[in-house]
Amino acid sequence: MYRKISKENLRKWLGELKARAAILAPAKERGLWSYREFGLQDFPLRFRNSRLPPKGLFLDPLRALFAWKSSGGSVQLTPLPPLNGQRILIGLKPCDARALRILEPIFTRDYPDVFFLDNLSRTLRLGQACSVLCTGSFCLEMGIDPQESADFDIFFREIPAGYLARVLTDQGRTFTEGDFFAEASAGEWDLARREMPEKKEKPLFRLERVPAGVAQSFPDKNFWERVSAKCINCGICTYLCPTCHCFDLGDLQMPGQGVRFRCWDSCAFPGFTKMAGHNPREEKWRRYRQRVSHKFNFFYQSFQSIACVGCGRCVVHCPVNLDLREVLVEVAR
Amino acid sequence: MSQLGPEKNIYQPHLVEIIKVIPETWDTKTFHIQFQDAAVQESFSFLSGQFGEYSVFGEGEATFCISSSPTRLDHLEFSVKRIGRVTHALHQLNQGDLIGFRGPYGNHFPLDKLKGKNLLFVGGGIGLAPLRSLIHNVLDNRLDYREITILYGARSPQDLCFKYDLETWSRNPTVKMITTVDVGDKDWKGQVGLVPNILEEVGPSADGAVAITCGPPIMIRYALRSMEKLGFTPSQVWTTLEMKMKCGLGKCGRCNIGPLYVCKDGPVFSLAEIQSFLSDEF
Amino acid sequence: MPETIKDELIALAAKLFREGKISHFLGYQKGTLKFQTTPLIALNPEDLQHLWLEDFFFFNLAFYLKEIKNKVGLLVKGCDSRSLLSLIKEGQVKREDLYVVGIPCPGQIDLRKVAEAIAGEREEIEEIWRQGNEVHVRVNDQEKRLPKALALLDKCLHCRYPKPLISDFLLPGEYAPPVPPATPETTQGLSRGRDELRPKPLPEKWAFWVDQFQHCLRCYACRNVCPACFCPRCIVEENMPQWVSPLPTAGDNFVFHLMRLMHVAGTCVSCGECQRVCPMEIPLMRLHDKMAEDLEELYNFVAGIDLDQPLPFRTFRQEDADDFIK
Repeated sequence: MYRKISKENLRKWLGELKARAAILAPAKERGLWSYREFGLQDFPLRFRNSRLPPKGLFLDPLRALFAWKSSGGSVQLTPLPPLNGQRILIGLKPCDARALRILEPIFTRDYPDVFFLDNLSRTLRLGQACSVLCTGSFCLEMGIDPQESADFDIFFREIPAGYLARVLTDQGRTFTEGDFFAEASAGEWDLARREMPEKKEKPLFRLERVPAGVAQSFPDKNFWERVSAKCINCGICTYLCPTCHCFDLGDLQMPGQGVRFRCWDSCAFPGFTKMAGHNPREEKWRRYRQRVSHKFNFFYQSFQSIACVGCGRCVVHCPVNLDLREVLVEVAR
Repeated sequence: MSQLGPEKNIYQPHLVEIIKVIPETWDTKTFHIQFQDAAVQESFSFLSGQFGEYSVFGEGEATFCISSSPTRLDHLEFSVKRIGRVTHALHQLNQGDLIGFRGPYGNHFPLDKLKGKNLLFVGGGIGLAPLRSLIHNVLDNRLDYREITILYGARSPQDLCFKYDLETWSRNPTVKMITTVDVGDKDWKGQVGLVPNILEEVGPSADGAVAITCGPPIMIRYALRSMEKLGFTPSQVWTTLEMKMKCGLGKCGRCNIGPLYVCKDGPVFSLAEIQSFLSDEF
Repeated sequence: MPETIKDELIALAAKLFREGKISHFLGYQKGTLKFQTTPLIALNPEDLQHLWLEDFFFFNLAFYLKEIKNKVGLLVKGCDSRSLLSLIKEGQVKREDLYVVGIPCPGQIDLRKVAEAIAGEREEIEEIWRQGNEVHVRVNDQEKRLPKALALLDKCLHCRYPKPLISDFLLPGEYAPPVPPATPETTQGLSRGRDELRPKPLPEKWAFWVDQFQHCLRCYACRNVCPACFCPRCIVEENMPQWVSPLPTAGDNFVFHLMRLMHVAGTCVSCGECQRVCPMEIPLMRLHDKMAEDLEELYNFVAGIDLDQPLPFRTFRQEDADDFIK
């Protein structure tokens, strides 16, 4: 179903919605882009993508799980509720939206994680088609179309008069009822598709060769030592990655009471798999191999999707420019 | 499997009370626990091989297998070697203290593959803990199984765990019990020798047999070689894999090895399964 | 760099490798993104064919000495050489295990400042090149010119040691500060200028940092890229007892950063790498610069300029200031 809306009406529509929901939109603060409470000002120009992926709005960097109080010999446990309140996320990009889909089965299967799932269900995802390819990105190679996506509730394409909207879900349909939106056709939608200026002639690598290529290079210690040599074992690639989801559980104790938290963790950290007597991934090359193998091979075997959307954040922000694209090109040869 | 934990919050444990503490060795203790909520205790069940996540509130959570048998559900048992923060904290606790329990998690020993077979249990040190659940389970249904051989070893007589069980099993005429130590002392009258060597001396037949082994990685590595010499094929041998676990739910990523999560797809694996994905990581 | 210089460097390194004097040579090669290099860890002379020293060699390669414990050859700018002296003084590396090659530096470009100057995003910058005392920037097919003083890293505006203080070989070129010492006029009140916080009252400074550290992710990039953070096991990773919680609460983040600041005092040479790598744009150098100035003022100490000055936090002197004891 397709709709269209003028810029004027879009602002009015969001103004009305603000009464019912928290609206999060891209804003630049402290020198970086993030999703913030939208003040109904003009939409930011020049927004490519946020520094931190929106995964942090669903898998919180720090989440309190339950609390306890102890006195005398007794202990009382109190579950802490997940956050609630309707949210509308605007300006979400196809890569990050796909990443949320990739994350969903982990938090749904076997033991549903209400903290993640409630965040998903209370958030209306409004997407924005990209007009340029992000530096360092390889979304096209990962099978993501920056201009078309079904991973949203409503997906917007900008046109001179305002926006075209592709309504994808029932929730999206409910939110677009009313006078602000007019009907639009599939033809109008197709016409609004933009040519990406930096689109490459030839893809960097063929995605279908990657899982097998990664599997084949698994025993090649020399390869992994060579490609991971300059890695500094920080957590930037994992924390800025929209599909990375490893976490830690830890307690914060005060006299007589405390809270157990869940927080982000990184397989790049040397202590990640450390046990009392033994660390199976003591060496850096093993940890790097595990990261690449997990995202491009093992996760694919378990969930039939690769845990990477080619957003390029890890490429741009790696302190030593360890470029995952180079590694993928080599394994997929 | 009935998944316990307050209704929707998968991270919240149940409160359990320590009803007994048994010092096994200088650094190992066994704890007997019961759910504070009697209804939970009533309805709780598990299978041998499964584990739980035990909380000392304020210190953290740690993973231990449930070492009691599912055939004896009035209480649960688990054993702890004092090595790190949570285990140190556990060792400070006494009868009456409350801790948290989440579980049971993981897969289990495949009883159907053991029925009607000769069973060979090979354990080392605290590795007897997961085996013990299975051994009691099997002995409580003795007629379902054929010959039972238990080979257990520790570094020294002081390091032997579950001495009360070793005593019970050696007095059981339907069980062949061999206890050995790497190094004896002046009072030790039993076998002396490394577990893999004693195993080859005892030489149980691999015909119609299944072997289950748990213990320190080095013991397992050599025990597996000995079993191979005795004719055991990889699909006849079962073991538990140790990998650092945190959530126990297949989500936090820590225990991921190959396409598997040790907390979900294990910790019980056959040697055949391990060989198929066991890279050089183990 | 002129091919002759690169060839000379490769020949030199080849000799060192051949004679077993080094097992690694650390340098710079062209990055995969514009306006950056990437560390080159050469295990043999052939690897050095990738050397690229045209511009953007901002890395302080001394941090790899935390990991590479054999005999190492490496390229250093004047500021980087101070880290080597610091590490030698701290007993972390032996002088005889290093073959130090100095390179002249025209000052390193601060991409954040350039983006700010063109009122745009870093990704929008198409080209950067230098001409005389100016840095030229092309964006949207338009050319802008910036005086060097507005385009270089803060530390380059106050460069006191352009020539490596320790070296076995110096690549030819001019070893001089890239710009004359900065003045308020030349820095034109840029947002990352160093003096903004200084005159503010303590509660305001406190509030500023409380806000900044809320954003810290505990990625530990600042710690890992720092040559002065050489502890094999960081205190944050200790949990018996737990000094700092690994949970990224505002309070624990604050403690981590202040603790790190104090722990590197005397060894930190203000290379600025911690600030460059921070993905959350936390202006860490304001703290490190202030600390370096305090050390100079209180103890007449500057990190990494010689091997004789005793380390301030390892030494007690009767005449040390104690006015903080109230």
